[in-house]
Amino acid sequence: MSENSPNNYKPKKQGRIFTIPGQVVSLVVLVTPLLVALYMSFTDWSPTRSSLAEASFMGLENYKELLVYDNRFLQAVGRTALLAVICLSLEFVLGLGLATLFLRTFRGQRILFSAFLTPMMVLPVVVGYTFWMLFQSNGPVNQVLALLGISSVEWFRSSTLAFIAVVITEVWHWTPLFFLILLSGLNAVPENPIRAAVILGASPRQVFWKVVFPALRPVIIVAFVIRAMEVIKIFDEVFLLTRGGPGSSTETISLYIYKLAFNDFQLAYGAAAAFLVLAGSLLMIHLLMIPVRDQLLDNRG
Amino acid sequence: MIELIDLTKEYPGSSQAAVDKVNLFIEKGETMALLGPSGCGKTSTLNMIVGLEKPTSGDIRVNGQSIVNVPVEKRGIGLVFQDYAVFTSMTVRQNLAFGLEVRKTPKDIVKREVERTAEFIGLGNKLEAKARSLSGSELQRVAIGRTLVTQPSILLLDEPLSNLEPEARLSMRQELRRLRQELGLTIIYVTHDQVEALSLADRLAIMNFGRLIEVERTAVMLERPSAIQVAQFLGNPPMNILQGYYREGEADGGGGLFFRQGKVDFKLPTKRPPDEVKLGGNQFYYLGVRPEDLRLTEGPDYFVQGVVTGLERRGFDCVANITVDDLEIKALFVEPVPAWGETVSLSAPADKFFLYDRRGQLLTVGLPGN
Repeated sequence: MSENSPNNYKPKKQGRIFTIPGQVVSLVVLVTPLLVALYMSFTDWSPTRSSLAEASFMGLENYKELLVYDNRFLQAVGRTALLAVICLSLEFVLGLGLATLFLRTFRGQRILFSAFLTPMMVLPVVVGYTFWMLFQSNGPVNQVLALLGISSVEWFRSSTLAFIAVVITEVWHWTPLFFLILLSGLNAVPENPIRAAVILGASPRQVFWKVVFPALRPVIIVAFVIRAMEVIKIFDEVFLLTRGGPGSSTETISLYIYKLAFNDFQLAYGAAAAFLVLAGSLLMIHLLMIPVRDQLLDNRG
Repeated sequence: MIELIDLTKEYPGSSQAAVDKVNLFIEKGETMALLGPSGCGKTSTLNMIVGLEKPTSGDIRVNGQSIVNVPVEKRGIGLVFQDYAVFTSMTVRQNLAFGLEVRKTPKDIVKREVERTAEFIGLGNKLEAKARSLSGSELQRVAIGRTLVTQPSILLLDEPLSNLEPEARLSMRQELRRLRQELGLTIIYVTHDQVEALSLADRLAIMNFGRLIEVERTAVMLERPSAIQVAQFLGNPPMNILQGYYREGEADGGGGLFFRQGKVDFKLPTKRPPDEVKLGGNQFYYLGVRPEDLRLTEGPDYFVQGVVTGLERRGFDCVANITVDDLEIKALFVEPVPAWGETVSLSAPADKFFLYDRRGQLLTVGLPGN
């Protein structure tokens, strides 16, 4: 690497002055609110009672309450995790299947390609509203089911069915992302190792698992990480479809925190919950990335 | 023993066949090089032999049996790719074992065979290394070893040396020779590099535009390139080819035989034409002379006189462009090298001229003596 290459460029001292405005902005806009929220999570502040400065400091009391006593929170965490596992598995399988179909050319491929990507571009609010409409007692879904001889299903009265409705909505909305990422990943898998494996006598299944999959693994993990972060934050669809109901049976983390903050005005408690979720997601994504981190970072060569 | 019979490959949407009625016979244990410029159909030929592509028409026979409808993995033919196509996520051991494991070979046999092959290709101490940490020539060895483990009877190599650095090429060439001797494999390899072809192959098959132009033993091909396309391809730089007609001259008043292209008369070092040649302006021929056979000369009996308009030093020798009127010919000098812009006289011995007829077929090598 030469002295002047961009990677080796060392900023001079005067140069750093010019970064001050940017640093001030990020300090005010990003870091300060985060620190305020972090402090808030150690207090018992509620906006209806007093100002934050007057709120009493409670140490880890909020966290203890959440982790030990708040079953509704723990259930929301578990439910979100379950939702993530189910949605991501379905999205991965469907996305991979679609991507594999698109590896060979067929008529109408371009139109279908655009069509398959459309759901991803629709606003979550619109998706939530639309599917809420579809799943109504005498909505289109039930009418189709009626044609098959299944009498009207009350999607939002049963906790299982409501959960399934959320899963269907989420899978419809986000399979295109997996499809897109996996298709570009599959196209980037070099062809010759596949041919070499075929010549050496590997069956199509062996070719996929032994040659294609290892090459695709970093891409798969990246897709999973992106989607896992999104599912943990899922709010709009659930809020519009079920509002967490019936009862709190489809309540996800975001929905619970939203209720804590804006229904019960327990802002400090909500902040603590949010920080717990943040820590949990960081840990999970870190663990997910470990097996492929070297593979992803090595190729900078 | 492998036979290609009228082998043809046409790709949809292309008017010209990628491989056009190729007939080729390769002996058991022979090394055959398919030589030709990029896009001449050599890789398509290789892919058809190994079974990655299906011929449009024609047949491929191994030991007399047609293999066109035999699935890839049952043909007993190994292919080593130009970019090696080693499985980078696996170790050397896993790469070598791949061909056996997918065929459900018992573990102890896999282990034995893998270790034997690793020893053979000189990677016995690198079995557990990740493939992505290997150098170019090590990857090449893995690619060859991975194929050898499955004990093919025919080994196909696609540009085996072109991705290697120069020193590695030299040792890999020796390696391939050893491989051929010790295993008695039939090897077909594809290359656009003639040094590679000449140094390894028993016979060369020269291809261009999907057609087989000439198949000949390596030494013979160099001595007597029987087609003008071959002459234009072999050698670095390749042979100078003049196109024109023979005439008996009065150009310098003294008689003698000339070859005239355009407005330039080249004086041949003989007084009478070869028997195959007719004199006169409507008898069209090609005349070839190699750059390395042209040498500087003093005095009146020169082949051609021209101005040095380009010099390219390549280490020990120097390629010179000599411009004569509107023609340019190349000459290869060791020492002395003329200066740029100098007017030089060149001559060549009578037995170093190649005579081709108007269709590009070799008539004879060498001009008759005086």
